[in-house]
Parts: sequence; structure tokens; C-alpha cells
Amino acid sequence: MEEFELFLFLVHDILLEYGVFLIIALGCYVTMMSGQLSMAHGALAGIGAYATATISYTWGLPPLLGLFAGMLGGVVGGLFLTYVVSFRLFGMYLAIATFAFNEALAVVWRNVDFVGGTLGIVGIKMIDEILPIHIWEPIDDLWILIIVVALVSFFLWRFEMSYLGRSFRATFDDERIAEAMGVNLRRVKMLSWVIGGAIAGLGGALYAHNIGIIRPDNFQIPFSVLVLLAPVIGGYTRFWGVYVGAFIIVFGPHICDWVRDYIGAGLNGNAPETKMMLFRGLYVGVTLWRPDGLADRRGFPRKSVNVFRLISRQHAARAN
Amino acid sequence: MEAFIQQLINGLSLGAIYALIALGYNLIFGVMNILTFAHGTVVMIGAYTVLIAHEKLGIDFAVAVVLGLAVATLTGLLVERVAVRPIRNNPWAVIIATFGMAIVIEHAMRQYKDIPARPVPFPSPFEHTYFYLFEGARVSLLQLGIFSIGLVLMIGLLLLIYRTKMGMAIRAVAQSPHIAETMGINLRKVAIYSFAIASVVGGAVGILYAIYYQSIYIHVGSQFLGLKGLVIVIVAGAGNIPGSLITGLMLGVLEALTIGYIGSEVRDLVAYSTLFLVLIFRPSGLFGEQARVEFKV
Repeated sequence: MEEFELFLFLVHDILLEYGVFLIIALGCYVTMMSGQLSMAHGALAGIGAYATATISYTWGLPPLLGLFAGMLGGVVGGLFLTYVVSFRLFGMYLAIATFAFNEALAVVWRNVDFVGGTLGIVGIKMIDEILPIHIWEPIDDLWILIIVVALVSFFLWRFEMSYLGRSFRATFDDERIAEAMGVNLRRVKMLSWVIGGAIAGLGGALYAHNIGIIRPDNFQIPFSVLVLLAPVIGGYTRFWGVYVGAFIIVFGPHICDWVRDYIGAGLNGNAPETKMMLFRGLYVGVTLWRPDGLADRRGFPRKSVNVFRLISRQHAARAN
Repeated sequence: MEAFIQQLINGLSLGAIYALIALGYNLIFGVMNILTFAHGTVVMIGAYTVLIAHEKLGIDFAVAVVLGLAVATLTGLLVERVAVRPIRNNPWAVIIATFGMAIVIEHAMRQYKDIPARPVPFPSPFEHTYFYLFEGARVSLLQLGIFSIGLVLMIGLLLLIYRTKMGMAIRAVAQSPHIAETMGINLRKVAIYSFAIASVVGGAVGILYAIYYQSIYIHVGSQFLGLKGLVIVIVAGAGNIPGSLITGLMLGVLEALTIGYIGSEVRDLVAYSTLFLVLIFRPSGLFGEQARVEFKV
């Protein structure tokens, strides 16, 4: 019985991790919907996490306020990226510039003593203190997360069908034709960063409340690449592709851990290294096997868009 | 003034390293229009091969250097074969596959018992001799060696790219792959050549870096040198090889001056804030001509 309870605790923790990661990845998905390829959503989530940590830990205000502050922080970061990067660059160049934004922000966090410098902030309130809903004590935090995920999913479901969502899609397919059809490109690009930033900031705030500790290292490039991987691995046509991608990314390391146990407890005793090696190998394999994503493409009758072909097209258009 | 000249000298030798690493990125980016995140790992492999061959196996340093360059080249070609060629038309998948590849290689190396994550000392072939210039600024033999080797490599590469037939093919593909192909240039061959050149130079950069700082750590490529190279490519304007060399030298000097006058903790911020300033005031890059905005919005 003891072992079974331990297993349930593990599943509970992984589910929390999955929900939080899913929200951040959905933020990345919204930005990618308009063809803006971002490697900065880890950093936007970091802004949200630091915002809620400052509000609920340093100032002692209610954590619910922290969630909204996190969203606001994500919006501010998104606006910065819109005006400085997104209006000026495209394709690969945009990716490198957002990448640099991510690294620069980590340096900033490290050098600001107010948010704890390199050590970060420890002892942030846990998720179940956000809302006063207490149904059954062991899974109170899960309820809150499910509510947030449901709200975000509902928003995305309605959003994709809306005029704005379809103009995002049109911009993704071809910026020139979209503009010729009357889509306001400036507005679409800005809104994709603002909405994506808000969702990523909300996810980052929940991330802080989930693990209780934040450090600058948590929001660096490796995290951003994982966030980006969720839509890319999962599939890109509809938002539920992200659910599949996030599932692989969150459960993948645990599965690799079991595999590592099976093949002999870490070659040379380096357990985390072996786990990460197997996991990265797994996702490289998935990328090489199905570069278009797992969840959609083959077997679906409707014509699907392909983020990769889009980027090559953007570069080819420039070259001609 | 003394301190200024001293930091200038330090910066030039660091800048030579940056310039060479940016060159590798620029070659691959210019020719194939893809970003490889595994280049930093190739750099690291070069230095580690020398370390293991020289310290553990007792091979002569010069032979170990040749071995290091060879292993770095092979690693570069392996990355090209496994993570680039099959998904060549999907630049975004290439980013993810090469990033994953880099981490797989680094963690695979960590499985070997004698490679710790912390920095390890690196043997230096130069003696600790200093030359004193006017006004008391001093330059060490090490710095002089690094800078002159870097300069020789740069000039050699520029000659290779601008004066040989292979270099002409590389430049032609960078300008327009389609027209180059109709002129009878084998695109796959050019891709392999550019990866090989970038990896040889990358291996050399890794060894120079390790000699300069007299230590090396396993994530040096992916967490430090690789990032600088990417930033330089954007600041200089992609596809411009002399431009990226000059930008690399300038960035090295700027960083050294920052360390000297402000402090080493904001060192990494220099590169990134330079990047954003360049983006705001000159979006096409310092030496770039092609506008990088898809469309004036």
C-alpha cells in the first residue's frame, strides 16, 4: 500500500508539472500561430514567475494578484519583443534575436539583488493557496490548475475560430497575401506577442507557485527550447497538438528514467546525465522521424500548414 | 591610459577567438541558410581531444592538436550527416535536432569517468613571458601567440574563400543555390565542405580558447562560445565574412573594456545590449546590406 501511495504522489506531481508546462507551451503556440518563431517564451514565463514571486513573497500580497501580475509581466515582455525585434526581423534572424533576449534577461536577473541574484527566491506560496477552494486536501492544487488550463483551452478554442485567429493563420501562410487581403500585419504581430506573452506569463506564475523556488537558471535557453519543442513535436495545426507535445516532454524524462533503471542505473553512476542523454536522443529521433509533428499531418484530409516550409519560404522570398 | 591599452590588448586576443567562432557560424548560415546549435559542441570536442590525448595518453602536444582538429572535423561532419542532411529543407527542425545532438554528445562524454562538469586545467605550450610596451602596458607571449595564430587563420580562410575555386563555389551557393546548381555546382558537396571548414576552424578555436584561459569545461561551447558566435552573426549581418571577423574583434575589445571599467559580472550583457542597439538603429546589421525585415510593417 505504501508503494502505491508513493506512486500516486509521483503521478500527482507529474500532472502538476504537465499542466504548468502546457500553459507556457500554449503561449508559445499562440505566438507561433502568426508565423513569429520565438525562443523567448521561457524568458517571458520567467518574467511572470518573478512578478508573482515579488508580489506574493516579497510584498506578501495575495497570490491571485500575483497571477495577474505575471500575465501583465508577460505582456510587457511581449511588447518589448514586438517593437524591438518582431517589427524589424523575420525568420531565423528573429529566432536568434529572441534567443539573445532570453540570455540577456537571465543576466539581468542574476545581477538584480532585489530578486535574489543568482540564488533566486525561495519559499513562494504553493498553488493550493491561490484560491480558497478546498474540496479534498491532497489534490486541491490540481483543481486550480485544471480550472486555469480549462480557461486557457476554452479561450484558444474560441480564438482559433475568430476573425483574429484566422487572420493569424493567414499571416502564417503568407504575409504578403494576408496584407493584400486586408489583414493589419502590425496589429496581428503585436497581438500574437501580447496574447502569447500573457499566457506564458500566467504559466510562469503558476510555475513559481508549483515548485516554490525560482532561480535565473530555470528560465534559460534549455527551458525555452523545451517550450518551443511542445508545439513542434506535438503538431501545429490545432492547439491540441501542443497537448501531445507537452505530454512527451514532461513524461519523456520519467520514462527515460525507468529505461535507465532497466539498462543499469546510470552508466558511470551519472544518473541525471544519462537520463538527459536518453531524453534528448528521444526528441532528436522524433524530430528526424516526423519533422512535421506527431499529432496531425498524415491521415488528416484537410490541408495542413507547415511551419518549416513557411520559414524556408520566407528566406527564399528574400533571396529572390 | 595604461589600463585602457592593457584592456585593448586583452580584448584583441579574446576578439580573435570570437571572430573565428563567428566565422564558422557565418559559413554554415550563409551557405545553407540554417542555424546549427552543435557548433559550440564541435569547438569543445576539439579542446577535449587535445586534453585527453596529451594528458591521459601522453601524446606530443603538436600531434595532439592535429588529432583534435581531425576529431572536431569528424564530429562536425557527423552532425551534418545525422541532424542536418535528412531535414535540410526544414530549418526549424534543424535547430531542434542540432540542439538535441549537442546535448546528447556532451552528456555522452560525461559518462566517461574522468570528465567532470567543473573546469579542468589545460596545458599551455607557451611560456609565461611578458613583453612590456610603452607606458607600462604588458603583453604576454600567450596573448601574442593567440592573436597571431588567429590572424593567420583568418587570412588563410579569407584566401580560401575569396581566392580558390572551392571558395568561389561556396560564395556562389550563398548567393543563390538554384543558379549555382544550374551552373554545375554540387550543392551537397559544398554543404559538406562548408561544414568541414567550419568544424576545423571550430576545433582550432576551442584549442586556442583552452590555451588562453588555461582551462576548459564541458559546456563551454553550448553555454558560452556558441552564444557569442550567434550574436556576432546577427550584429555583423549574416553572410558577410569579413564583417563578422571585424565584429568579433570589436566585441572582444568591448567586453575587455567592460571587465576593466565596470566589472566582470555584467560582461555577458555587453554582447546582448549591443545586439539590441544594432537591431534598433540598424536592423540589417553593421555590415549587412540585405534588409532583414520581411515586409515593412
